[in-house]
Amino acid sequence: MYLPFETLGELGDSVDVCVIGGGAAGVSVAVTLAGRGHRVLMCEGGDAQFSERSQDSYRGEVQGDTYLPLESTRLRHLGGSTNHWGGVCRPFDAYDFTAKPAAPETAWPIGREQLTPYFDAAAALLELDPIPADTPIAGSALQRIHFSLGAPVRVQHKYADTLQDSEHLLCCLTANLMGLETQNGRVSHATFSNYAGEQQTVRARYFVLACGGIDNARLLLWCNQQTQGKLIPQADTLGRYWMEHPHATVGQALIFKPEALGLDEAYNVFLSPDEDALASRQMLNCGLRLHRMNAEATQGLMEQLSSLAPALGEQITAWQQEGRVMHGAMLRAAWEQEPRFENRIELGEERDALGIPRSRLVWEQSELDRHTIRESMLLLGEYLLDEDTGRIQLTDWLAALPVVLPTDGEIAGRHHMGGTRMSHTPEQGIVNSDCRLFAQDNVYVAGSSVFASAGHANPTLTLVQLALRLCDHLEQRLA
Amino acid sequence: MNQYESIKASHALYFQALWLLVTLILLGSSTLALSKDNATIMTPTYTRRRLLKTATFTGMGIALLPLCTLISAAGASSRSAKGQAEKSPRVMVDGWLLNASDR
Repeated sequence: MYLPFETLGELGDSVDVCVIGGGAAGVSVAVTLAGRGHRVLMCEGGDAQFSERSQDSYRGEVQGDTYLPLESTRLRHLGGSTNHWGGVCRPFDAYDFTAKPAAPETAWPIGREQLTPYFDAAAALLELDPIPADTPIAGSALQRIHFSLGAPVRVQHKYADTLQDSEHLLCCLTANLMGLETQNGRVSHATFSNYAGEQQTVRARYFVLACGGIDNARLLLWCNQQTQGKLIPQADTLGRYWMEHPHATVGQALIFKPEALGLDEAYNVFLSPDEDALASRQMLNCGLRLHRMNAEATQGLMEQLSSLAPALGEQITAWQQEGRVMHGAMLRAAWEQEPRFENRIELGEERDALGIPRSRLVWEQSELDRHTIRESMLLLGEYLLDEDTGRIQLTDWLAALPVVLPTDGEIAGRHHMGGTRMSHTPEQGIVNSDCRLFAQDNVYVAGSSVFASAGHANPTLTLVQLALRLCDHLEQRLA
Repeated sequence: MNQYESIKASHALYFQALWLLVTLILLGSSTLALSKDNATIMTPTYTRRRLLKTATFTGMGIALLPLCTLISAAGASSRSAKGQAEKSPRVMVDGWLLNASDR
């Protein structure tokens, strides 16, 4: 049930778990634990619907490579960014959790097998379509992969009744985290403020910070500053290893044998390199998306290719006369970004209306990031040549060396990851494999900010799996 | 087949040829010895028959093994030569990744 902000301080010691943030991760934790009978308080900083006063806190500055305005990449009201996401989901590959040969920093302290038990529950929560198993492409180091492409779930609407009626789940809107008070390695209480500047204090046995892939780091940086470093004494990596999924249109292809890639039946085909290719080409993971062209565009592509390569053009004409159906395809890609200490969230100079410093994102793509997308395209192109299955054209900025990434177009997937990295030790990250702050016994972080590496797949399914795993952990501690 | 692999294959062919030569010499000398025996002693004993059999089968085996290897090595070498001839160099033209023969 909804709770007025003014009554927050009256809850006393009755709260088992205080969840800070009401997006995909926060709602997953809150609804699950409340459903198991625990007393949960969910504090959402925004309103029930979009509001400028809340969204304004998401403004920030960007340094380094071109990136999108920070306030345009996420939403700050109940339901968080699930209010505008596309619903595209796929689990990370098993090798996304390992130390990849090109960048050992990609290793997580947990493996995919620790998230697999939560796949079904996460898929049900997000109402995913079935995701078929990946299949190798014969004669190549590529595999055909699949995503759930169904309608996106809006958690605010899906759990509207629960939020309204549940006796175990209390939900407070416009409750913005201002500070965490720590004593002897435990956070005793959290302070919240509304937009009128009124403050309330909440005590709870456990706190879960779930404010998104930028604000988890921002708020911990702020709270740590407020406590003179007592919250996170070893804070060298706080805000660091921030990652995105660079996105771009990377070229086009003429496919002579569409059935070899499944493009004869599907309009959109997704490919990714297999684990061996990542090792042999010293690159990171990448998702290539082939979007089938219509007949007119395909004919145009044939003519373009025939004028550049007359011998091949004659062959294409002969195939057409035999009745062979060929398809043109637009090529788009989303690729893994190297986890780098230098890419980070910082506290900026300017403050928001609540008095908290705004985010500053310092973000650059590395040589390995550029190498990854070029090698992925060459892998596809060489396979098409080897098997005489088609030909690809790399877009201008990929064909020329050095690769200079575009500064317009998609840029990135609005997938914010890292900043409160999961690791084995406090020297290497902020949370342990249970998603708990190393220095605090009762504070956890939920969301993609704990990702140690990014793979190429959209992060929502993985972050919900992690949130449900966190629920099991908390339930053991609450028992 | 890269440069390293082609050097390895030519070395293998050289050693196979040497093996064949040694085998033929051995086979020839054992045949000569047996015919000499048969000329002087008309009825071969059990031990001599066994020696004759052993020498014959060993000689055949030694001759056949490298011959078979030679045939397969020669086949592989001719196949790789054929493959090399088929694989056209790759070129990038206006961003298109092509075989040189496409043009």
